[in-house]
Amino acid sequence: MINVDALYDAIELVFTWHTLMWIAIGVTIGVGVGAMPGLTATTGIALMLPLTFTMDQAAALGLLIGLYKGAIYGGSISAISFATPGTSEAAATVFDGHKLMTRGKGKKALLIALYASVTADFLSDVITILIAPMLALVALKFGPSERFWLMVLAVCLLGALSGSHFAKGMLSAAMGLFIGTIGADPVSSIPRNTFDLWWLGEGIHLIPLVVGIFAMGAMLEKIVEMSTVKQKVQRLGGTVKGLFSMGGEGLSFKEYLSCWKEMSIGLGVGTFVGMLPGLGSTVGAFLSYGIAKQASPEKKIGTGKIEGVAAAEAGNNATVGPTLVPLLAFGIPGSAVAALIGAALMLQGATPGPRMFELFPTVIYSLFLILILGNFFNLGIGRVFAFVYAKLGELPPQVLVPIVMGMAVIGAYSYANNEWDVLVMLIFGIVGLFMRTFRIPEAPLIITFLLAPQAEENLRRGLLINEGDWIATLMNSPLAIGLAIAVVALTYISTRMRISERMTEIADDAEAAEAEAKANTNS
Amino acid sequence: MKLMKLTALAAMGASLSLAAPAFADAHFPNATIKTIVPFGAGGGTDRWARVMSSAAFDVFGHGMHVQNRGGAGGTIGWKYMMDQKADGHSILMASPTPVMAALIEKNPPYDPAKVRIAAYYSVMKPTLVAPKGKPYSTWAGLVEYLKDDSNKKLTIGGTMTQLLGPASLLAQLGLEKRVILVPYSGTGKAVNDYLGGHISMVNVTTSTAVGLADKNAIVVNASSLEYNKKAKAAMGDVPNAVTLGLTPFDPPRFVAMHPDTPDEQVAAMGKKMGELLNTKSVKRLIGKLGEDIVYKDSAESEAAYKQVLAEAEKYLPLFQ
Repeated sequence: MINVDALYDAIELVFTWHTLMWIAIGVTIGVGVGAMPGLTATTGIALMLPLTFTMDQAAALGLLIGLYKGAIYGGSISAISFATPGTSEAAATVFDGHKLMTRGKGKKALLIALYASVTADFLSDVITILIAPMLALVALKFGPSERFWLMVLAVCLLGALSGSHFAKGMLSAAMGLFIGTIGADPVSSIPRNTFDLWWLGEGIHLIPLVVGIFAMGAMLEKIVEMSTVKQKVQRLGGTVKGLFSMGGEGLSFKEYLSCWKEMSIGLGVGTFVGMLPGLGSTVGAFLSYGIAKQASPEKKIGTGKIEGVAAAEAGNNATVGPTLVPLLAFGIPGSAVAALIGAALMLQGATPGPRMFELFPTVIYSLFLILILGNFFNLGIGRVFAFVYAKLGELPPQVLVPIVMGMAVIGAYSYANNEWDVLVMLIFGIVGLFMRTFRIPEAPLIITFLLAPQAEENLRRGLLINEGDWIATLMNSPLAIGLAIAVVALTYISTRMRISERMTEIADDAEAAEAEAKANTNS
Repeated sequence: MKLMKLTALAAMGASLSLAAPAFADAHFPNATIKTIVPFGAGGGTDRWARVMSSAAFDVFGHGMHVQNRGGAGGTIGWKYMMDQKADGHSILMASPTPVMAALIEKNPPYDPAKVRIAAYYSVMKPTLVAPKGKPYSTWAGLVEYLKDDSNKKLTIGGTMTQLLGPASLLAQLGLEKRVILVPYSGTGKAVNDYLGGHISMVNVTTSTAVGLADKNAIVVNASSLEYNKKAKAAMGDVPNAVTLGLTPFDPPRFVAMHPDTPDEQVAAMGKKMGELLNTKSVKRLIGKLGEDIVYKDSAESEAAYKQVLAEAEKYLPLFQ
């Protein structure tokens, strides 16, 4: 039931120059923060929180929500331009986005990233507004057992990311699995696999890992290329001059529409992942990307396709609105960003909780309006940033490599002001170079690193709750059983598909060899 | 003449050098205070630091520069504080989490007992929440339920710091084996599982308990402190450890300093923190965050900290 008076009040509060200005400032800062490796939406919002102490409700929400939206999109800019994901959720964007950039289609990649982000974000906001309480109830059904199966299902769904060499994919996944076990045991907090290094007590952070593997790895590879292949030195002057020109291959409306399937996958996955506490936008992006890749093998996602960028970006931005669902429905922040927005609401006198719709309807409607409006600001401001970065990505390697390496070091450090993170990033830079050299896919490593610890945490917690009874833990509810069946079915189907693909390949090879032999005999 | 001048200069120098510490103390702090938060941005401690830093200039005459040094359960930030000069201008705003992380660690980078505590700025009140209408929805009911071996064990979720509260109370009654403590990395995840019916009870902070009070029963407050008026109005009469005749667990939020910091500077910092917490804007903002200011000066807080450390060492094995 809509409270019309409160809605009018909210419209009056939000549609003022003052509030609109703060949304614009928030989005601008957010895109800049997101594009800078290591600086996340959480960091940006935490830094801006004291500013909101003296602001009115709508302006404070405008600044923080704008920053959040801008930062989630901003990560894709450096991911596409420099293969350096500004935030961990943009890592999945690197696969296709940077390949497009190296082919001179950076502008196209940045534009589809922006449009897919805004489309999925906008639609997930609408879903949040319409059915937030219902979504929250669905989220509650997922306890430790259900979440465990969900993680296993996600890993199965992402089998497509292992690439054409299954063994290499498995090696990468095993590496991620081991790295994910470093640090405090997720249930008893006892350190393990830390090599007796106290600073590994909490494990490896995602940001240094991602920046190391993708950015530092790519730059080290470029250095190797530059030292082995005599390259023609490009004239820097002309390139810099070209930074501010508006040239480059853009994105047609038809191309945007051609990504509807990937954006829909991103919307569905992101909305679902966003409302579950603890998963976050990185899982949303990878899951959406993996499903999109499996759903349309003919599109060859992963080889530099706009559909890949659309799936990843829609997947991460669609988590923005739903992240606030548990906060608004129960007063439980499901993520650090939600906790900060909750704190900002409390400082403005509106405590989030089940009675929020009843007690603070104007605040709720203001929040909803800002969620929607923020997307339009993101669209305009994101475009400006996209054009500048698209050109920066075209800088010659001798200029680009030191810039990106510098950004990687600063980013790894600034994530937690922790010098050990820089060391971790450098180590993973070398690991990234090794993986690139031997063509080992990076995605399985990131996926297992992200999901395996969560699967373990939930399994262990389930076992703790059920006093070690495996059956009670794994078959805890109809939902858990349903998810388990889905895992088995998916594994069976994907294994059969893989076997039949391999058989076709072998048959094709044999046919080709036979034809070649015939040709040789005839000649 | 020359000798006289030299003697006079030496005397002046000596008197200045003797007067220097008193002068420095009177003007302490005389530079920006490096405020280390041993957790990432966005958590409870971070919010306290940012609210307090917003009024710092009025009290200290200098700002508080908040630095998040998260990682390894807060040990990275604590270790960083230990690496700073013991000149009183670096403080750590902490909770029991890095204390427990160091106690669990085989080779901890510091001894949590070797630290100076300038002040307590708050004390958490671990609050146990249960569904309404259950035999264990009240403290008396819970004790009776647990004493009956034929009843199923109860699961209690929460962060490790929060869980130490009910764990210590039940251990004093010899009932700790009848519950399963389920640690979570954040309160949000624990409440989610509780509301979904995946665990029997949840232990949370006061502000979260107030939010849940409408549709849930508030069983016990494991600390020695009373709730504020607003919380009391929402939750009604809730027994605390003292009213139950048990030893409370009072997990503090505290300002720590390098162990070599001179006594006067620790005391001065503690006093200034008291003034900071007493400013109108800090009181207003902290109140809005649903938190309570509980101030203890350096002498009181160092004594209380020792007790918390002893409690943590005693009850941490319950999780292993």
